[in-house]
Parts: sequence; structure tokens; C-alpha cells
Amino acid sequence: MDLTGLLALAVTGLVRGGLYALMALGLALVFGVMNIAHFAHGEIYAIGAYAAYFAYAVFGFSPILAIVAAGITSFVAGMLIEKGLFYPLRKGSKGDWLMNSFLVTVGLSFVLKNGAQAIWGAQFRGISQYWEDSIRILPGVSLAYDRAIAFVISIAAIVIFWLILRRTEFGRAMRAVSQNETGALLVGIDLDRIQSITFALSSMLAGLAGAAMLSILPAYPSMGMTPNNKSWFVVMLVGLGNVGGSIVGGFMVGILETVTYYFLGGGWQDVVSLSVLILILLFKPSGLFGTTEVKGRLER
Amino acid sequence: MLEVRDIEARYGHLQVLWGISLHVAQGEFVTLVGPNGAGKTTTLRTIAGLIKPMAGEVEFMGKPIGGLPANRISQMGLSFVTEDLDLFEQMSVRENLLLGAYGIRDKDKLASSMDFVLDLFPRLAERQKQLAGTLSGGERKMLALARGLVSDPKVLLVDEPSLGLAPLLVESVFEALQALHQKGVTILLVEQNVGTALQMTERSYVLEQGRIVLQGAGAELLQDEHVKSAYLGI
Repeated sequence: MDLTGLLALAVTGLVRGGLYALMALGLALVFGVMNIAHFAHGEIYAIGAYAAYFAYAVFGFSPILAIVAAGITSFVAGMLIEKGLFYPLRKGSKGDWLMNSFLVTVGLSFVLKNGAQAIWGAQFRGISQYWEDSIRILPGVSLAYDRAIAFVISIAAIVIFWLILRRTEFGRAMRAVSQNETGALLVGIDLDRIQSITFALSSMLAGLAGAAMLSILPAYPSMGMTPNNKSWFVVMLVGLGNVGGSIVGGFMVGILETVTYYFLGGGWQDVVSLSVLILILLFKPSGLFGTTEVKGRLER
Repeated sequence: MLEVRDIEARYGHLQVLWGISLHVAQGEFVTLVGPNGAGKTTTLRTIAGLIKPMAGEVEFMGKPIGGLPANRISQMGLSFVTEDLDLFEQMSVRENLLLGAYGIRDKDKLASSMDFVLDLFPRLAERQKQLAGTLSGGERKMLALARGLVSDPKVLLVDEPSLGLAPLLVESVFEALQALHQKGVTILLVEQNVGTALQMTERSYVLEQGRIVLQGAGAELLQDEHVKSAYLGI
């Protein structure tokens, strides 16, 4: 395999990895801070994709504006979902609802999927491309602008989010809530507000991913299944709730899948990925970077 | 400063507090003593807002706070240092302290508060970047106290700070509390170490089985027959 081929592989792997990292980050965040096993993450990705489609193809927004609009729409959707679904459940129950939280999110996924089908029908809503042309990185290695911009968006979102988490008081509060809720209350943190904003941020990240990928993966009601599975795969691989790890894991999985695709063909992607997951969990059930506790923590 | 009237509290169907009344005036150092399971921790948790009282009133600086969520009460100036400490284990000493000052916008005030607690606990100043989970038992207690203090609270509630500590460390914890008292901080202390608590503080309440059975000045209680036989082994 020559240098050009290797480079092409690396580029594709990184681009894919960036999107996986973005998605996994949102999922790890929800598990880490809210302790909710979120199985509707793919449907939030779908909300972003649909929003971008309507913004770009129907309302004529520019590509960047469409993606931003999708991000905002997902943020708001996440806020509404948290306030309408998780908040009342949290307040109304005695505390054991968390055990069933994943069922709640599965139900949410059903509602969103079928709602989308009821409103917009089952047909694909796709676009051919946001931007024309490709970047020529090297002779023989070119990257479509759409994919390049998607990558830049992923990295920018991840970096900004990381800075918020580590450098701002709000990020510190999020980490505090994930590590000790009683402690967070005692220092004056409003748990409900943190939970809402956390879910809204996670949704925004998923929505941005969906929007950025619209030209590659068109919007249709059940599109969320694959992004959801991939996100869960990454999060389980690195250890639930480990935010930093989920970013690294996203890239690892992206590169692994790309390499598998190149050498073994598309059909083997999932087989290899899942085999790796099974092997790793057999020997280290808490995940690659996990500690022995299963409860999520926003760790370093 | 702090006024508690006839509060009742329960965990599920188990009633633990049967009409507790106490008060702490500004600048006082008051203790709450009693056997295990008497309801001392429950009393503090109810005052701090972690539990809602079923009956009775809690007033802080004249305002009713019964039923308010714990984070609101904390922001009003009441700090509660729990028995479990409730530290943020994966964060550094410094980050724990910064969180103690959550909501303080005034940068100068924050800086001087941080300086104050780091002076009070030099061991913490040395280990600012160390993760809370890796500190020794005594250092963890200091960090919990420091975190409670960095917000410059009007009232400090402390639950059994001496538990599990070597005697030398117990002394230094009590010394720190005394220093705070001298500085004018209002303190309500729950302590198992009855003898020391009664000697150290001005006024005490004795809590047994969810009721206040005795109250008075530390020196008087030390002479009380019931206290002597039940708690001091005399």
C-alpha cells in the first residue's frame, strides 16, 4: 500500500472519526451528568438532519446558516424534551426511575421516529451537496468540501465544548453534578438547570452532526438507528460517562472502521468493530478507559 | 440567625424527628449531641434543605426556609459540611474550593476568601492541584470544611467532623472551628465526642430519639447526672 493510499485512508478515517467523536461526546455527557442511558440520541441527530434539510433545501438558507439553524433547533428540542419528559419524571418519582431511564428514551425514540414519518412521510430528504468541489490535499488524495467542512465543524464543536467543560464555572458545575449531586446542591448549584442545559447541549452536538452529514446521509424517519448504535458502541468501548475518552474513542472507531472497509470490504465493518468491542469488554468490562465503577463520571 | 421550631421529619414511613426546636444566635458556637440514630444528622439535613420538614418551621435570618431546595438555602449563606463530606473526588483541591464559591461574582471577594481558607489550612494550599479522591482522611475533612467556608457563610453547619480521625487531627479540626468562632462565624456543630463538644462550646442541645431532652450551657450540662452517666461514662 503506497503513501497516497495510506493518506487517503487516514483522511477518511479522521473525518469519520470526528463525527463519531462528536456524537459519542453528546451521549457520554448525558450519561455522565444525568445518569440517563440515552437511546434516542440517533433521533436527535435526525432532528438536526431534518432541520438542516428544511433550512437549506426548502427555505434557502446558506449551508453554514442551515447547519447553525439545525444546531439551534436541536438545542431547543433538547431543552423541551428535558423539561417535558425527564424533569417531571425526576420530580415525581422516588429516585428509582433512573433504572428505567433507558426505557423512557427508547419510548422517546419511537415517538420521534414515528412522528417524523407521520408529519413528513417516509421518503428521503437529501441534498446532493452543500458545497461544490473538493480540496486536493495531494495528487490522488482529495476530500469533498462537504466532508472537510463536516470535519471542521466536528473539531470546532468538540474543542469549544471541551473548553467550556474545563475552563468555565458552568462546565465545572456540570462536572460537579456528575460526581456528587449532594455536594453540588450544597455549594448552591441548581441541579435542574444543569440537567436541562446538559441535555440541550448534548442534543445540539447530535444535531450539528446530523446537519453536517446531510449530503452524505439524507434525512428519513428511521435514520437515527445507525448513529445511535455507533455512538453507543464508542461509549461502551471507552467506558460509560468518560467524556474525554469518548472523543478519543470516536476517532479510534472511525479509523478502525475505515481500515476494515478498505481491507475487508463494507460488510465486515460492523463485524470487526463489534468483535473488538466484545473482546475488550470481556477483559475489561468497564471499558478501555473506564474505572471499576460503572456510574458515569466526567473525568479528565 | 437560625431558628428551628417544632420540626418533624421522616424517611419514607419512618418518623425520625418529633418536634425539634433550637436556635442559634449570630456569632454563637452551638453543639447538638446525642447517641447514634438520635436524629442529629437528620436535623441538620432538614435545616439545610436536603430533607423537607413534615411540620414545623425553619427560619434563617428571619426568613422562612422550610421546604426550600438545598441549593437556594446554600446561596442564602448557609453552608453544610456533611459527614460524608460529599467532595468532588475527581476534581482538584482548587476546583473543589472554586465550587464552594459557586455563584460568587465578585472577583476580589473570591480571591480573599480563597486566601483565607488556604491560610487556615496550609496543608490544602500545598496540595491545590491534587485530586480530592487522593487526599488523606484528615486532608479530606479540611477540604470539606474549607469548601464550606470559601463562600463566607453566615452560618456553618458541621456534621461530626471528628469521626474517623486520629486524636491529633481531631484536635486540629476543633482548633480550626474555634478559630472560626473567634472570627465571628456562627456555627452549629453535631458531635459524637460529647465531652469535648460540651467543653468547647457555649450552648448545647442533647438529642435523644428524635427529641431534645436537655439544653443549656456546656459547663452546666457537663455536671448533669444523665449526661455524665449516658455520655461521659462517669
